[in-house]
Amino acid sequence: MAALLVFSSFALEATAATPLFTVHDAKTELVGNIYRLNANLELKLTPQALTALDNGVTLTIILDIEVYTPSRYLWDSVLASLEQRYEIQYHTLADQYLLRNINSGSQFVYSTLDAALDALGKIEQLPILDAHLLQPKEHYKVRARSRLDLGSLPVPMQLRAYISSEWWLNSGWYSWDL
Amino acid sequence: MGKLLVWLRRMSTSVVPVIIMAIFMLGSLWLLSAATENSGQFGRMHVTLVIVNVLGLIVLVGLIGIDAVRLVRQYRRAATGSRLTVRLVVIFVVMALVPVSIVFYFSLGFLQKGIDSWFDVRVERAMEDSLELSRSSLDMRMRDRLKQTRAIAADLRETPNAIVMFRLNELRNESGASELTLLFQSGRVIASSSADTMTIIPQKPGGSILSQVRDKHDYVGLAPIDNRGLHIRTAVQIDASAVAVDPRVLFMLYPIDARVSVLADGVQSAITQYKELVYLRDPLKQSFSFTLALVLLVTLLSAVWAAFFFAQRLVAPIRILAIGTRAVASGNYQKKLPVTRTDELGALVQSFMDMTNKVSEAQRDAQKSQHRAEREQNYLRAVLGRLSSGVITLDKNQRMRAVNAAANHILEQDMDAAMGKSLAQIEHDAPELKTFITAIAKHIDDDADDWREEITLTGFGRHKTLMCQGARLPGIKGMTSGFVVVFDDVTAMIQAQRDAAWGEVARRLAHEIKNPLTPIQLSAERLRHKYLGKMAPEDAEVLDRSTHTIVQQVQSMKNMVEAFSEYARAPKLQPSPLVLEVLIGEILDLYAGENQKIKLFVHGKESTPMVEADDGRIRQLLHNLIRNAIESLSDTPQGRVDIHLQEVKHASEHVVEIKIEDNGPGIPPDMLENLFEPYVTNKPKGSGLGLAVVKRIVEEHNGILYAENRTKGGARIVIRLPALKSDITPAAETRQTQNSG
Repeated sequence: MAALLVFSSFALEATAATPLFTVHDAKTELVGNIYRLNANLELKLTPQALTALDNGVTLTIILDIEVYTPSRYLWDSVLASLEQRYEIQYHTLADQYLLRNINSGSQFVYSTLDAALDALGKIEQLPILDAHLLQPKEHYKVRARSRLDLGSLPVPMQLRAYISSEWWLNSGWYSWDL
Repeated sequence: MGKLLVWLRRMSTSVVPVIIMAIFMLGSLWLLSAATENSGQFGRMHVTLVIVNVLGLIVLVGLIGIDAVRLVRQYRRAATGSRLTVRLVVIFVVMALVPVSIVFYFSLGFLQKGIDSWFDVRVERAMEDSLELSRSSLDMRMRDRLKQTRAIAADLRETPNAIVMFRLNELRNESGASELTLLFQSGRVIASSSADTMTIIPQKPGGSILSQVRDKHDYVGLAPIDNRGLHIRTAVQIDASAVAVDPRVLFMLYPIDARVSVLADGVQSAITQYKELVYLRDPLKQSFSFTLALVLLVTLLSAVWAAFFFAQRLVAPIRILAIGTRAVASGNYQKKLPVTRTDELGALVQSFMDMTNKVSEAQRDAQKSQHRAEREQNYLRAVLGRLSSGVITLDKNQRMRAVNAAANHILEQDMDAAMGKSLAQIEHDAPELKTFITAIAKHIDDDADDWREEITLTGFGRHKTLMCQGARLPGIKGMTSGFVVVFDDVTAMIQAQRDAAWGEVARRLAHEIKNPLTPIQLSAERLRHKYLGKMAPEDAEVLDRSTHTIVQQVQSMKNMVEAFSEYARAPKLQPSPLVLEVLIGEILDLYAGENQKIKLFVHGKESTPMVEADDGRIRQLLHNLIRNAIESLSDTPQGRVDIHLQEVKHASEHVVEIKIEDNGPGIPPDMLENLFEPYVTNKPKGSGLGLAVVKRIVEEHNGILYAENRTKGGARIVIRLPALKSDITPAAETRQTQNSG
């Protein structure tokens, strides 16, 4: 376990120079009583991930969103968390890339991977929180990150993916005031 | 805390944690293998399971390490049972290692070959061919659909946007399309018609399709649409016309025949899976190999740990037995051993304990008997020690086994030093006991059951008469176990009997002879007085001579009888502390001028202790002895008498020794034995009572005396008188004595 953590942090540092997954911009706006997220993500895949995708492996990209109150101590108290899962798959026969939103069940077809990733990177009006759940005087923050879900990879690849920097695709948290 | 420790200790020796651990590891391994096979929910747990198993592995290695270190320490200390444990562990480990290694080796080979066998160039070719076939089959349909779309686009060119919705529905129904959408080039939907009434949001072409269409390139392509299967998508630009100022885009979705769609899906999924499999070929091999290695490693390490565990359990009773045996060897029969098992080894420990209990009881009995024997021996020793008779026991090999204090005293030897020695050795060490030992040996050799003999010992410078009685000691089954000799010093008793006899004779003689002597003398004197003057001179001379002889002889007889009665009568002693040097000096002064021929010398220490003695009797004694010596020197040219006075420590006695030596002819050997008895003399004159009186005086003073001939010639009389206790000085005690002439 410890070895794995060491590997992970190492991988994080290796990719820190040219981050492949980045949250460029994210905002929340109150529409009605619902907070909605608009975000702009930049998602690029490593050669290994591209090869796997072209060979029929489905990649799962997760967008984590958390509303929290910052704490001076170790852990922030998280009020709400939302996990958006997207699957990207290459359709050999049609020579198309399929982007599937697991949460909504909707599926989109793109001729190129870049088109699919661009579409995935544009988050618009994603409802995340009912304003009633918030305490009026509390200071809330939101944070978001996108990452490649290694646990969804085929089992034989998992162990290798966990200990390889080539598979460590994680934007890190991007936070802002609610 | 204490309870926890006890519980931990019990658990560490119990089989329960082993079973729990084994079940846990097995379960975890099963899950891991299930996850490796990619079965559903376990797939997501794969990494966790790997970590759990690796942790289990580390725990196992740790446990084995602890056990191994402990065992190595025990082995170095040469602790009981450690060697056997090591051997068992090695056997168990080898037994586990060999089959596991073989299984691992072959499984790995099968695994690699098995996975490789999934892939085949022909299969790959067939896959590509089917893909090509599917594509070409669909290509025709796609071209048709594109033509159709272009026709519809031409139709729609003159249709204004306001009424286009109705036309779309018609065209959709005519063309058999599932969805038909009209958009601006920017992507904004103008109108849409869908066969599926549930569809609210129409399918839109992506940005790349729109830009392609803008460049006057019509688009046709395949796309799987949500749950509705594979569709043909077409996009065509509708140029600006009189009814529509802006160019528009027609986007259509055609379903594919259900049969073709199913086939195409089949081809697609097969190809995807096959491609994925080819891509995963190496990771799959590695993953399976890793899982296999993990499983076997866990199995092997479990086996090794189990080997330690069971070896120690197996050896435990043997170790207990060894501890017990060592305790017994060191004489501890009370050691309690724990019986922890019910199998044969447990029974062995139980039997061992029963045995040691029996041995312990037997030993207790033996100790009791030994104590009894010791008590009896002490009792016997005490009795023997108090006996005035000397007692010696010999074993059947005639070796000295026991001797009492009286024997030491009588034989004047430290017989304790002779303990364990044979008779021959004792005789060699103490030649003066020759007669005694010869007599005993003779009786033993004669195999006499019981014997009695009076033995006279001569080696002490005087005669010593022992009354010996011997007996054979009976042993087991009539065998001889040894011999016992009991003896008393009867010298004094015999002497006393003799003295008493002589005293009686003397008293009677004196009485019987003395009475008629006076009448005889008186008669002779009357005869002489009456007839001497009346007789003729010749007769008168005869009478005178005869009566004179009678009177003289009677007087002589009277003197003799007087001496006898003197001997018989024991006058009462008047003892007082006496300095012998002074006494001897006074006596020698009397002899100073008497005989010029014979010289007298006194040698002696000035500080010899005093003796408790009767002054008159000692004077008589010394007179008798000196006179005897002088008389014996009558024919010796250069006669001399030496008187030695010295202090002697002999055994526990402390005595003053007076030695009177002459250089005369010595004592005839035949007289030596009875020298001190009355009428034993070689002198022509004398009563024959001088030495007898000397002896009596010595004995009256509790002393001893003996006579011997000097090696250089001449006689020596030795007298020993007890020293006055109060006059023994420490300095005197340390003086060495010179005893020989």
